Amino acid sequence: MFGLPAIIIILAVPVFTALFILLLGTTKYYSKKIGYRLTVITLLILVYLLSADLSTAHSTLLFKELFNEMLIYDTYSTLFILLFILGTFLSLSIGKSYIYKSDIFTPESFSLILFSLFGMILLAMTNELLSAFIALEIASLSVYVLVGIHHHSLRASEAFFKYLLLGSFAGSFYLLGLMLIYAQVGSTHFNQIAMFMYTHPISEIYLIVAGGLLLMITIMFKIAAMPFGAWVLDVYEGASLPITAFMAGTFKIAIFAIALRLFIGIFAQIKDFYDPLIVASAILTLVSGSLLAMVQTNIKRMLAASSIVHSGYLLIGLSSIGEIGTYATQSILFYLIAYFISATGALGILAYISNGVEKEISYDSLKGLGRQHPFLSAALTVFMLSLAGFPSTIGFLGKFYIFTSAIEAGYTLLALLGILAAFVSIYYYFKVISMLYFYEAEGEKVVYGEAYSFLFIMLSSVAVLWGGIGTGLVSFMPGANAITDITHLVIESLYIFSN
Amino acid sequence: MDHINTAHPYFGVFVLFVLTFGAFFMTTVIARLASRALAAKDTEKIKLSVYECGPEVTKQPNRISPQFYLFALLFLLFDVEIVFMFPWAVDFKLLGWFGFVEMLTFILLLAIGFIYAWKKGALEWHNIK
Repeated sequence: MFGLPAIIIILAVPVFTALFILLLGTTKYYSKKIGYRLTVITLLILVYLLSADLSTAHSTLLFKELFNEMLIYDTYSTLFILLFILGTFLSLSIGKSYIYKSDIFTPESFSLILFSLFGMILLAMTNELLSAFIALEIASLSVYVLVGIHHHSLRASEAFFKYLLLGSFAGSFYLLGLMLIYAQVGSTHFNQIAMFMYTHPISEIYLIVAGGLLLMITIMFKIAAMPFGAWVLDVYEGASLPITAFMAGTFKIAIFAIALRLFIGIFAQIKDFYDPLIVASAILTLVSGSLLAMVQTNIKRMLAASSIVHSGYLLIGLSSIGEIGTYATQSILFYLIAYFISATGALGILAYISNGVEKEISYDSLKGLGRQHPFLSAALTVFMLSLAGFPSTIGFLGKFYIFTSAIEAGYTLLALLGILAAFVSIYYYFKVISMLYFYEAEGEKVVYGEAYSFLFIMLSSVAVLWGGIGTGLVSFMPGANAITDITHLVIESLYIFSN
Repeated sequence: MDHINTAHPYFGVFVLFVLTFGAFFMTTVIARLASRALAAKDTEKIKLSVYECGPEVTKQPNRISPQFYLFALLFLLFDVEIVFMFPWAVDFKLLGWFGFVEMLTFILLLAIGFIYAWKKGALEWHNIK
């Protein structure tokens, strides 16, 4: 624990670095190298400041008088903030070769990434619905612009408009739900809403139920759950690859930071109302996501569609959160960690091999890569195995926990459907692996630059394996069991009464 | 049917909702079927041929330069600033040093945005870098 001043630094450093890069970008002293390094150094400082706080379960209200108990800093937010920072760091580090070769990364793009990170940090700390909305919009607005930053590309512009219009429209549902909840409770704080629901019978809280439903629409839109998730394919395809990695790996987790707090804090008490809806949404998401992913020929689109399927698995986890859903929550947290590293790595490799040019990477263009670039192909194989949930990777453990928690909560059929979707996913993930190894190369060997990006691809693929088998091999090194311990502390911190 | 709570205050609204939806749906279906059945169907050769002419493309006369939008955005920046500054100025003595520092931070952040826009050339006509 570094105490309160350190937390202010965590909030202030991204903003001020972003502003500094923004202003520096207008002078002649700026170069892309400086902007990139400043961003990465900022992220490293933040990791250093935060990492010590994961070892204990703690919970403090930040500046109670100043912010009126709006912000809370507990182990839960620490874990999520660390994930956001690591996700941003990984997508920037793996994407370094892309960023340096491509000419669309202006100084504003680094600032926007940091602004978005600030919004996500705030989202993880929020203890109240209105500040959650503001934080969500800070993060979303930056991501909208990042999608469209390649403004000469028609595809990117289309993606930008689709995402902006649909995203703002979905955001308005949140405000309506917030209004309904405020009309009933007279407060927007999570604990007060929970207290109100605890002291009133179910027949007197219909407005909260309706409002919560509207909040859930926004959340489901943002995590691309299926009735609302049709935007994902075009938007992920239109954004440039490092940005796609950032969105798929980091921004999606940020939505779960608020969704989990809502589900544990508020929705758990009126679970009976929402259960059929979440289950239906999970089924739709799994089925249609799998179908969408199977028919894609472009790997970027395939990964976008498969991210819909991963939302489906997470929805299974959300539906199995009960009154005190410790095990389900732990499994969701574990799955988020597993998903973030695998998705960032897989999209990062695509960014690495596209060499800074935004082009379509079809399955055929990967033919024979296994001969030409054995290490890179091995890393891509590891990420694909992890996303498919193959044993000995961290993705397998994530899926295992999600399904067992669903069975424990009584959703055996839903878990079976999830397992079926995992089997189907083997088709489209292993297609990539077969392209790598079972076909002859068509073109000449292309040399990809930037040993720095390559190093981080290798490190994250080792981490994926380590999370899956490391603990079994070397007992004194932390692996999957360390993650489980941390998730346990995180949930413990949610139930600490803080003042 | 006895599990439907007809005594619920919103039951009437629900029935109305279902009825209006049904009526709307039926109207559109009937309209479509009727227009299909009543329409005269001629398969003349000239009628089915492709229409190939039209007025010449002219430049849109009332096009607005994007510069105006930039100016509108910058105006909004200071407009909102005034909205926050006015109540602060009224209650200046009550808020004291705390309010003063808060306001300085707020103005500083807006000033950074203003400097950025200035440096980018948003204040010059038709000269965006």
